[in-house]
Amino acid sequence: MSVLHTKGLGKIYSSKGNVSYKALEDIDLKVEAGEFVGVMGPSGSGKTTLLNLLSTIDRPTSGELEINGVNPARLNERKLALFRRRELGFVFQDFNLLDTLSIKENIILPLVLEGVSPRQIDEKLRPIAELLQITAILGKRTYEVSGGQKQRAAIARAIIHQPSLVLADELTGNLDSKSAKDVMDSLKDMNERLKATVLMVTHDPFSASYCQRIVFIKDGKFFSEIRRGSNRQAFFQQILDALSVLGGNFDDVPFARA
Amino acid sequence: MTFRSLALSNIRGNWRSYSAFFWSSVFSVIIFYMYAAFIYHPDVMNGSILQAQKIRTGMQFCLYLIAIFSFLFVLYANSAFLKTRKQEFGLFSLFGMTRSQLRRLVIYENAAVALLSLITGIAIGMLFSKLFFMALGAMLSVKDPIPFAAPVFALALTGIGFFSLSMGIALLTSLRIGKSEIVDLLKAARKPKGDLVFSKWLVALAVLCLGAAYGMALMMTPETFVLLALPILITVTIGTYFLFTQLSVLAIRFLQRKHSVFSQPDQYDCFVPAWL
Repeated sequence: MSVLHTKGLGKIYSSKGNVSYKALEDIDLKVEAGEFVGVMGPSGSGKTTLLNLLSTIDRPTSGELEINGVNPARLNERKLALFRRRELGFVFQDFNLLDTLSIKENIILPLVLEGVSPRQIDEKLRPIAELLQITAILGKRTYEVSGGQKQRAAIARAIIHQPSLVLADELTGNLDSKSAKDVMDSLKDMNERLKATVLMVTHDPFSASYCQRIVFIKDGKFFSEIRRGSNRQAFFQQILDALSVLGGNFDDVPFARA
Repeated sequence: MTFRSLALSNIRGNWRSYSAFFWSSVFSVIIFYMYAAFIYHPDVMNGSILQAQKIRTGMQFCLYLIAIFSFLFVLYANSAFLKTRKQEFGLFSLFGMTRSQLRRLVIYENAAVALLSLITGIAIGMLFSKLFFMALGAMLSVKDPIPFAAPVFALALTGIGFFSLSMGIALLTSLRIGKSEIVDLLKAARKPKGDLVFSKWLVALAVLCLGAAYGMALMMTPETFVLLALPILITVTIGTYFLFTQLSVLAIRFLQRKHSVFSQPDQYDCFVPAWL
């Protein structure tokens, strides 16, 4: 069963002066339930645009998008908000945790919006917090914990309501190599144990090597696709090779490692 | 955590920015209550303080004026505060908070802060009302001191008036939010603030209104008081409003040109009033 299905997805940005810019063109993407897919591409290749379209916070100018059998373009504002709340989870490069709330409050936010009872919330929170090893910091504020812990909390928030698709944007971009590894291990755990479907946009070959499949895009178009065998080391090398074929500028995000 | 306690957590977490809003509300309540306490003071009402009888009407006008200014004041404080929270609202919407939920959140938060500032304001107002009566007594040269009193009507007027005022503002501002696109909200924190603008016409209007108001006030005689009081009130209000919103921009422009004042970039922000 495919969770995400796009057909000929495109986005053209146009401004008043009649200057239009094709950010994304003819993207066909299919993600099966339980998959862990990466999207890579040089800067300006349309990764963020693609992610915005999939997040339903931006509307495509052409093509079809279906998430779990629903086309978000056909939903009204209120239904769309409910759709994001139930079907999607988000993880960002800059964490986007709310400073006004504690770590626990941040994580359970999707359930609070849904009106789930506090007892049920606790039941859902406990196993996930344990799996992500953040039980000890649940009561803390966002500025009291490390970047890696913040990102693991963000993963917990993205996953606690069991969405059909978790969208991750450059999630290790702000982390040191040790934290990045922990975070990627956690995300892989979520994918394998909780059967979460993950689509991750990244610059970083190391993070990308955790994916089962990587889609490369360039200049807004599909470029190539590689699949992982059993060995992550070999896959990492494969990614590096693919990137050198792809060319383009990959150095605008600081590499925490090479 | 329930939805309502989310609103409370927000207030707690945002307390540093909320406190400016809170104290401005408290201040409005204090002034409003003290005036109301005098106007509806039993001794003033039953006419046992003769001099007070004469200024009662004037003070009633002042009370309206305070109400109008409190309204603008709180409206500004509130909308300026909400502007700083754009990214927060963007995140809430991204995580699937519907527009009506977002509005409800703002209204809950405002109700809680309004209630809190109302209680604090009335408490402080009561504390200082005797001092206010003493000052008024001295100015009116009243023989017997005006006794302390907390007229129920003044309390009710302040309470109901201020609470409905805050709720009205909350409703107004909550209608304005949730209209922007999520993408814009999320980027709002990174976007630079726009240039400050002012209109020459509005500056002229401010000068004209203030000039007219003080001119009328100078020409006013006891006979024309009833006739002129309302026009003066209106022109002063409009004039003062634009004086601060427009002329302050002009003043900041002027100061910016003087390099020495704004030599350090971070000083800039402290100088710009929140409503700009």
